[in-house]
Amino acid sequence: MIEIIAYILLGIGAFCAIVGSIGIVRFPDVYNRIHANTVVVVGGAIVMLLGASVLEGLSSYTLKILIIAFFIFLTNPVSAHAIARAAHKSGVKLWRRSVVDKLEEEKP
Amino acid sequence: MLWGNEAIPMAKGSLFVAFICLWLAWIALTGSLNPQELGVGAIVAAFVAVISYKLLFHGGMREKFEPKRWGYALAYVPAYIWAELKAHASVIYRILHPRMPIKPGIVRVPTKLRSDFGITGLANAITMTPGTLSVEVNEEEPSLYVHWINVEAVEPEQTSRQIAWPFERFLRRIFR
Amino acid sequence: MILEVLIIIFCACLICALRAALGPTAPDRVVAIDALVVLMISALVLLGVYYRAPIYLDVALVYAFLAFLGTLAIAKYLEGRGIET
Repeated sequence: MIEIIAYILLGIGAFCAIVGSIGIVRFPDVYNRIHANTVVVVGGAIVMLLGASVLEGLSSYTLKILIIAFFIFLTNPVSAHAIARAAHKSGVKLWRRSVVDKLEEEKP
Repeated sequence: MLWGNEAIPMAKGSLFVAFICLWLAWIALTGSLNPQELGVGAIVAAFVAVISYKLLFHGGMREKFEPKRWGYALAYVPAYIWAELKAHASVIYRILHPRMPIKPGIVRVPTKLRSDFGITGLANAITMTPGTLSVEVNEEEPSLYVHWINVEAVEPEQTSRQIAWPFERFLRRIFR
Repeated sequence: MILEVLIIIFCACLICALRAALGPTAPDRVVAIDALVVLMISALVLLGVYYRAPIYLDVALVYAFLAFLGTLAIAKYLEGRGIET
């Protein structure tokens, strides 16, 4: 029973990982690619780490895997935000069919 | 010094909490209960806690352990997971659709949160759900500039209700 | 089962590496390499579970720290520099 749950989590993670990396290739500009990056990280890596910790059972490995998952969970939004802000400040344009850019209009 | 009479036990309390947290992190990372490891961990955790407890915790200790806030924090977890599931389904649909039905843009999302922790938590939650990405924070009138993969509304009230409200509903009670 | 998942992870890594090689601007490459690093961390953890060797988990933890610091440093650098390819 425990193993079935672990394998379901691993399968969901592998699916999200491959779909997210296809999204990183397909999407047209940096900001859309960061959405696909979030799919890879949250839906792929963290779910796979949870699946690995369920598969491992209760041991000192499990605690360490959960620490790694929690660390990725804390740091990924910070780095995504930093890259998006740096890209916008360094002048990377949005996709040409984007609808609106309030940041460009309202910030000096 | 600036510390009054009542501030000193508070400082002791935050020093103690910092020491316990650091020691638990040491035990979890070494993964053994050997008394030698525990002793070295206690020494190192005490040293780091004395240096850095003012950075880790500020404010009183009593209001951090108010049970109502922890109740809202527990209720936040299933709401957060539900928001994540919906956002993942929508973004995976957009990736796999052959004509890629996206309509991206950057909108402004005003927020009613005022504390630093509240705004940080809201920005992190918005970034962690795929489909919305916080690009910039405006600190004068607290609002976030959010890149949205499928812009449905541009007016600040609409965007605030659609993007920020599922998280802000809990965060404004957790971090006042 | 773990081996199949590892094969899928390596396919995803190759696709991310394609974007890192193509990417027109520097932030594109950084985003692709960030995803690749996170996938490699989960591959290391799965290898550690498969071979029952805890050393892989320590390597994964240090790799996560260094990747985070590297991404922040590159973002700080790009903010001051302006766009080039």
